[in-house]
Amino acid sequence: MAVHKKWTAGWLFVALFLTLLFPATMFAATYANIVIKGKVVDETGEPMQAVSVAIKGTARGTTTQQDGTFTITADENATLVFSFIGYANQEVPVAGQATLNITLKKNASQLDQVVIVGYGTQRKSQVVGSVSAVKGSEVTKQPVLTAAQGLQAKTPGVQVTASGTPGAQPQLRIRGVSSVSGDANPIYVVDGVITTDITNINNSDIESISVLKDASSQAIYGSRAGNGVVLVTTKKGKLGGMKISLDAYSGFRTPTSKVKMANGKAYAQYSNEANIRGGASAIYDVDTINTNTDWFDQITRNGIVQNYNINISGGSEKTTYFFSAGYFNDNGIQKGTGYKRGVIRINNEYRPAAWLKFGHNLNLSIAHTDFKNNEFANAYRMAPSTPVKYADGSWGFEKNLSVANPVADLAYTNDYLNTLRLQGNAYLDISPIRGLNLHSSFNFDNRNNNATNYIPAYKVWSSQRNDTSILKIGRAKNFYYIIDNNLTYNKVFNNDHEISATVGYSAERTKGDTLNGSVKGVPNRKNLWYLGQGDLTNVTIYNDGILVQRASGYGRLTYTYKRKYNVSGSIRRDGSSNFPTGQKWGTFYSAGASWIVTEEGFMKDQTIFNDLKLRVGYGRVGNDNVSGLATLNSVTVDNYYYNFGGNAYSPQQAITINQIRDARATWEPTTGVDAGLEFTLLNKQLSGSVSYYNKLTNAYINVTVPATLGDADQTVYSRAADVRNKGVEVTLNWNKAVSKDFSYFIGGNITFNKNNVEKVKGNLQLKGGSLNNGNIVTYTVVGKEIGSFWVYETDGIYQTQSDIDNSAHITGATVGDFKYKDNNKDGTIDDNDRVFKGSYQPKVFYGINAGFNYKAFDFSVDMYGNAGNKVFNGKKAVRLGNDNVEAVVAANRWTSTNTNTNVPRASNAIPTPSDYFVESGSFFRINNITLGYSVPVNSWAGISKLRVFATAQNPIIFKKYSGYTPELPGTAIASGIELDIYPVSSTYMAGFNLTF
Amino acid sequence: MKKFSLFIITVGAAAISLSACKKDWLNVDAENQLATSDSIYKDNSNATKFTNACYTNLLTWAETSFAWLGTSSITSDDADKGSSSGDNGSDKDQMDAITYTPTSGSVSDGWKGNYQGVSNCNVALQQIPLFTTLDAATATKLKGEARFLRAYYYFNLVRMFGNIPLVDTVLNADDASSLAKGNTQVSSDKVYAFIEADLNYAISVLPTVDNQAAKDIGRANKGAATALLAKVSLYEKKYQQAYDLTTQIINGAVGSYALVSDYSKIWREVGENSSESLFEVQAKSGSPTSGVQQYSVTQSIRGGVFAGVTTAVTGWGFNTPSEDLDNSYEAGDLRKKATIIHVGDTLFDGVILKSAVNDRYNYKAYVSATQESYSGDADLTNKNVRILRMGEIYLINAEAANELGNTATAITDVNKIRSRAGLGNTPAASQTDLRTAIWNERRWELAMEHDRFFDLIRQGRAGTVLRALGKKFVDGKNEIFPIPQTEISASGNALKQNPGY
Repeated sequence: MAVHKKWTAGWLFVALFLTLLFPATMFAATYANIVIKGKVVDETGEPMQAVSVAIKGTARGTTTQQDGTFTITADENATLVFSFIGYANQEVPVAGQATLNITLKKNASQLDQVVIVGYGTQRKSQVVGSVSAVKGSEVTKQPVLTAAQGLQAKTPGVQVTASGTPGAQPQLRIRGVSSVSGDANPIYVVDGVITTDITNINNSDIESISVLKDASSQAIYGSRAGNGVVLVTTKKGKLGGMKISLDAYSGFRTPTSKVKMANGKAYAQYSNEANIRGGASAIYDVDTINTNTDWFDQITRNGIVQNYNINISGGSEKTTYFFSAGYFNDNGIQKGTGYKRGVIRINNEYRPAAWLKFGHNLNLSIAHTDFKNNEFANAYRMAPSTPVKYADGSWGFEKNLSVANPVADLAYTNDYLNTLRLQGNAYLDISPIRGLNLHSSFNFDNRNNNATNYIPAYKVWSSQRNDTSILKIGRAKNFYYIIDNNLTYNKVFNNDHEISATVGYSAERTKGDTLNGSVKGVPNRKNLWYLGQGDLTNVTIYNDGILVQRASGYGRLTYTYKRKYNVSGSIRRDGSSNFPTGQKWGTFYSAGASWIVTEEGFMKDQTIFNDLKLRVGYGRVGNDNVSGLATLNSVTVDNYYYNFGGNAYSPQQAITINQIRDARATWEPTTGVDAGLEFTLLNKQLSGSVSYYNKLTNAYINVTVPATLGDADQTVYSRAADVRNKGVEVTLNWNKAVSKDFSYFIGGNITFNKNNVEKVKGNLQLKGGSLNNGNIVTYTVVGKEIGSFWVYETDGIYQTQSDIDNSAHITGATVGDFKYKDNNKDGTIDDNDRVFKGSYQPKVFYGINAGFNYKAFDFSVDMYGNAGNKVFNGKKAVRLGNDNVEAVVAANRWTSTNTNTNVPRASNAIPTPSDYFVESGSFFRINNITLGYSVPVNSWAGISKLRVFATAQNPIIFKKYSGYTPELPGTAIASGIELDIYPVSSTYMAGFNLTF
Repeated sequence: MKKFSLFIITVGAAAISLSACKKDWLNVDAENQLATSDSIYKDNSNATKFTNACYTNLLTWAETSFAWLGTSSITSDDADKGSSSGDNGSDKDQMDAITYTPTSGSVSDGWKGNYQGVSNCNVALQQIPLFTTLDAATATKLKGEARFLRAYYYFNLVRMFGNIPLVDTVLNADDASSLAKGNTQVSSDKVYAFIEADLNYAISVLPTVDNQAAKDIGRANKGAATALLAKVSLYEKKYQQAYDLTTQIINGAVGSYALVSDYSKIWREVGENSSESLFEVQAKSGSPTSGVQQYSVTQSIRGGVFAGVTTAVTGWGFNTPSEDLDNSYEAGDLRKKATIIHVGDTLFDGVILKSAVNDRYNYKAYVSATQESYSGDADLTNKNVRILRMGEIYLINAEAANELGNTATAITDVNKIRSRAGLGNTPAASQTDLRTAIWNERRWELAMEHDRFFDLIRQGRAGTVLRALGKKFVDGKNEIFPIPQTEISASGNALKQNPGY
């Protein structure tokens, strides 16, 4: 302002004085100097501050003021070079002009796009690691709850597995699985709030998502970043008039594929044979069976999904505002389930002075979830010969079977959760001098959960009944905050040397507690579901809490030379209360470089590449997502009390020490290297990238300890395995504008990932994947992937008794059963004969995105696929005895008249986990097909855009797997096993976007 | 302007450096978690609580419930798997047929449940001396109780598995030699010697039942320790020792005990902690959880249709008394009707069983919904599980006496038991006949009380008796259970599997 003008005037005076004082012989040339004044603006006419005005061929120059004006003394025949980051340089010969007004145009190079990285932004050319950016609009066109699910098929290296239950967040894996036990999901940073749950974020509020995939980009988040980081930035208001937009869609979800089960008669015949094989007698009279209940149909429905949203945003020089309100409603495909959510967001920023900014991003979300038990397993097993209800209205049951009537179970479950979540931040930005910015923020996340679960007294039959009603009430709350202060300094020296430095620290605290109470004998009326209405002499109470505090210091330095060579490094020191004394602190770092090849002189004349960037990065990050390890000598209060003294006395409490902890517990470190090249060709129509990565994690495992140690869960959490993930990602995108009316794009990404366990401490036996019937199906060993399937190998079916007698067999084998290979030739079939048969981790996963715009129509299709992985058909491998079987199994089972088959005979014995249940998990799915039409409105009623669209999500899936879905989330050593699963659903919907 | 900016920076920096820079920021106590570095030792009641954990292990699923039914009862000729033909209770069909393997759940539960009990007792023994203000008498008594229970757990382990690791202290997972103790098997003789040492200590320090306060009923006492030592001696074939100990009990030297007159009431709620009882697992329904996890519901009537009083606890129907047991009773034996519920019977609380999935059910596990304390939760009932009672003491006395050649005492003991059962005197007179008669009395007296399978093995006739019923008992193999495969793996293959498995 006035002071700056004074300074400028002052400098000017000095400059003039000097020029007068010193003879012209000071200058090399003999030309005359003139004073040149001018103004620099951008394409919109906005004045540009800090634009560098340099005299070409010299080291002299100046920069523009806040109002865009500059004054410089130069030779009248000199050339002035105007440059600013993100804009194309302009070289303007002075040619004697005393006034030069310049308009700078934005540089259209892709490498100058701004990429959001941790704690700031960088130009794409400066990014040394692997960061994938996805626009918010890519997510909003999908009818999904969370943005995480919207990432599927959009970014290479990211695997999204959704469960389908309404209100649930999908499981994300970034570049393979690193964590063996515990959570392998990445963290989400939503405007500075570090969280693991983004179900409270309205997708329409998201401006962009950055996925930090490799250690060099993740290291600035240090100990939180071991599994990757997803940065979510929400929309802010922009300078300009008020913009109002309305979005709505509505549609329904329906199960995509179904497994055909045997009908009543086939089931009865199968069960009779199974019982006879087991030495009992037939239990059904096949001829009297006339019922064919399709239990799957009985428990599913078409679930309605709806989403309505309004955004109001705008801004002036002093303030910008963004307000949004949205409502989302998802009825699941299982009857009685549902999720409803309302979200309000206010993102405002205030600028009282040019060097001072206040702002806040606040998000309030209210959600209600209706839960039901997952009845799909019961529907799979329940006898089809039993009707849902008998003629007299009572519930059907089958006394030869220990399976609940799933429709009855749905009717008697009342389980709902109300969540109130207030998340956001308040921040302050101070720029006391140009290039220096102090950012101070208080970020918080406050959650309140109220859960109610009521089961009335009911009786279906003696094994499916509840004698007294039970009411369970739960209250949970959690307050999380992180105070973060950082200082960023950006400066360009001599037009060639650019430095960007960030230094900061943060302190974090999360405190939560849970209170649950349960009581019996409460009436079956919703307004009476309070603990006081029940039998208070018999109350169960549970109360627990959690407190974690962290402190961190971090810094990043980026140096760019001539916008061509770039070196970047970061370091972070993290301390967490989660670990025992002496193990609380860790250091994480990264270093990397990038080279913009197309800026080189020797590339100036080639016409192939428009942009070509090479980059390499190395880093060390950690995962601290473990809890309860800090207390080494914890005393447990036993679940059971003991009643000394008989009925006249109250039971007494018992305490013991039965939790063994590792005294050396600390972070789970991952170190990795990443190298890639990014390019655009053919006049920027073809762009792509290729990356190679290799990372190693020293993973935590729940080490199984012998029972003699007295540890109650027989596991000790200890770092005991090394896991390596390496692979290649390739992305290609083709964008072509054929004519004014027609443009199209097609792109794809493909990831090859190899997961390998490199070292396992000592004699650990990491067997997992329990089927809950005494069998385990995975074994994690050196040289194979985590959670590899480890099963018996079938070798045909026994046709005669002598075959059985002459070979190694399982006790009790009869004709018609599987023959198993005695791989170690010791004459018995036991665990030593098991072999590895692949794992659920795909060798390749890929996405294809294509679409076109023709006049007012827009069309896009996204596809996703997986290849080279296996799944274990768990529910088929668990038989409780007399369960239903798949129609194919019943029809093709071995009998004495149908011997030429690969399906064994009917049996009620516990199936041996063999490769018969291991199936291919490869699939290809069309994720999303959207067709939109922008109605020509001609600004009628102030409407600037009206687009209507129709979308089909997951309409088709091509899979080899005979079960419900090949996408099976789970822990690292127990994934890919279909036991209790929610089938994949397709959604068909229509909606509109309206902008004023 | 410049001054103002500098001012802002300084204020900002000061604010920044002050916020959240407490030195102890990372040293937080874990919420809701006790630790031994707390003031635990200042409160002497915690010493009792550590000892109580030795008892609470008796209430768990793995120790006294479904798995124990499988290993101790369904394996024998007294009981069948039960339940419906399709429901195997995960491996109870294998327990019934004696085709179980090292991966059978019941077998590994048996190992885990008992070793957890051993560990809880070792923790108590380690912690009690750390209570410096606790009076010596209480401390000694608590140690005696812990050692009694440790002996009980080891007795189960050595009967079930043979050569097992002998863990006598709390193991330190970070110390290799300590860990090795948990992975090295010792011979069963050493284990028996250890059990005897523990029980002798308990006998010397524990009070008699007459000197126990009312609030301490259910805690181990001198009589309980003596009875357990007598039983252990019988298994070791130390007949003189068994005889002497049981004589002491019968004579009232270690507490006042006597047979109750009505056999049918022994396992009912009215018979809890009676004069006959030496040690029971104490259970109480309701809240807080203090019942034996699902002991009754696993054995309760399945698919029952009732008349008369129709409110009856129903359940899974496992561990049903066998036809062989049913037919073996002598005519007029009151114990038959008191042990076995038949379809068509009227039960003591007026419930008439019209039909059910199985023909017979275990009456000793029966809980009356109308005439006994019943909270509505069939999983955690008031049913105490009787471990040691006078009926068995008399029979141990008889068997030991008979083996020592003292047939007269043996016959007197047997007749006491028989007369309570409504039968006349035993006709057996010779040592051989008397032995068979005593073994039969053990079967009828202690039917469904978790002893039959181990008795048959101890008596050396498990193979002949069980194979006659079609079970696949292999001599030289099935006398002990296989060591669970998961345990062998967790030990890094340091444990060696029992022969034949």
